Amino acid sequence: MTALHQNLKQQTDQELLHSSRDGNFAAFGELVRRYESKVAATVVGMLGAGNEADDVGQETFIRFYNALKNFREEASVGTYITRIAINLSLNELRRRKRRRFLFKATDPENEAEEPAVNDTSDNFDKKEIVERAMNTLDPKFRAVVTLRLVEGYSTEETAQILGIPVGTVLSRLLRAQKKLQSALHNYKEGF
Amino acid sequence: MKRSLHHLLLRSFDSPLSEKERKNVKTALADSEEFRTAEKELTVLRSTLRSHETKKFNSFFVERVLQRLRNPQPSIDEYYLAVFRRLAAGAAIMVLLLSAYNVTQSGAFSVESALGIHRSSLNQVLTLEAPFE
Repeated sequence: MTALHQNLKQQTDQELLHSSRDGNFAAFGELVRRYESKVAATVVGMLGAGNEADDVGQETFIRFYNALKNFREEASVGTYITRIAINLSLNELRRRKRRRFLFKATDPENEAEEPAVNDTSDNFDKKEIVERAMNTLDPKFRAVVTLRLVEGYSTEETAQILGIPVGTVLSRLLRAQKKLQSALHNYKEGF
Repeated sequence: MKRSLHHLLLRSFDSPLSEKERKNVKTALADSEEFRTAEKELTVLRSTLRSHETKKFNSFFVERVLQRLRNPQPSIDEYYLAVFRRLAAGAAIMVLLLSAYNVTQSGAFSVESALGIHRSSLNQVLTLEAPFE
């Protein structure tokens, strides 16, 4: 590891933000490195793993870089980036829904992309089962589950990121968990 | 299991419960096998979801982000928007020119003449004899 990288690693987020605003790409690269896993958890939680998630992840950091001058540091960098990631993921899910609607009649492969929840094949491990069950959730419920349960944000932080009241977060969590539970119930006995 | 009890169980994971509610959960856990199973299922579900945290993007993610920042390319959406704007502007000019042509040809300044709409009488339509003359 070079001395420059070592030096960047020791800098605080604020110092890196300051350097990034001055056009220092290496400093911004360190910020990307620092928050990559956080954004990945959000985006992959929302969209599932794959190239689309990777593209949305890249776009998240590009948007963050372009918004650096307007970022007043009222929220932490992590919360701010997560908010961008969630919004872009929701946009991507809407786009997917439109595509599915447009090509449903003509492309049978689209149907196979997300198999029915009550598929009782034993080939899935627990994680896959959960991922499939997550795919059946409405995006607004998926966002709450991703932030609260996957990323471990508190209900207050989740509400702040999504710009909704805490009560709404709790009721969405409740409904999402009920749906996930019943979906998972169909897969495995004794889960 | 009662709906209200299931609701309480779900809520117990995310928000503080009152003394009475906590007592209800405790009693249900002690008395009901079904409640204990539901609680176990929820715990497993939540811990399984949390393990997603280890997800990573493809290799060289940082380098790809920096590459895009150094060489900004318009996104496909921006590209389509730019193409649409050009086409829309061209089409609007064409419509204006055609409307102007129609107006000069008909010699009357009205919406019908601009759009080139001919008024046909009922007789002309029914007899099908040169309806647009």
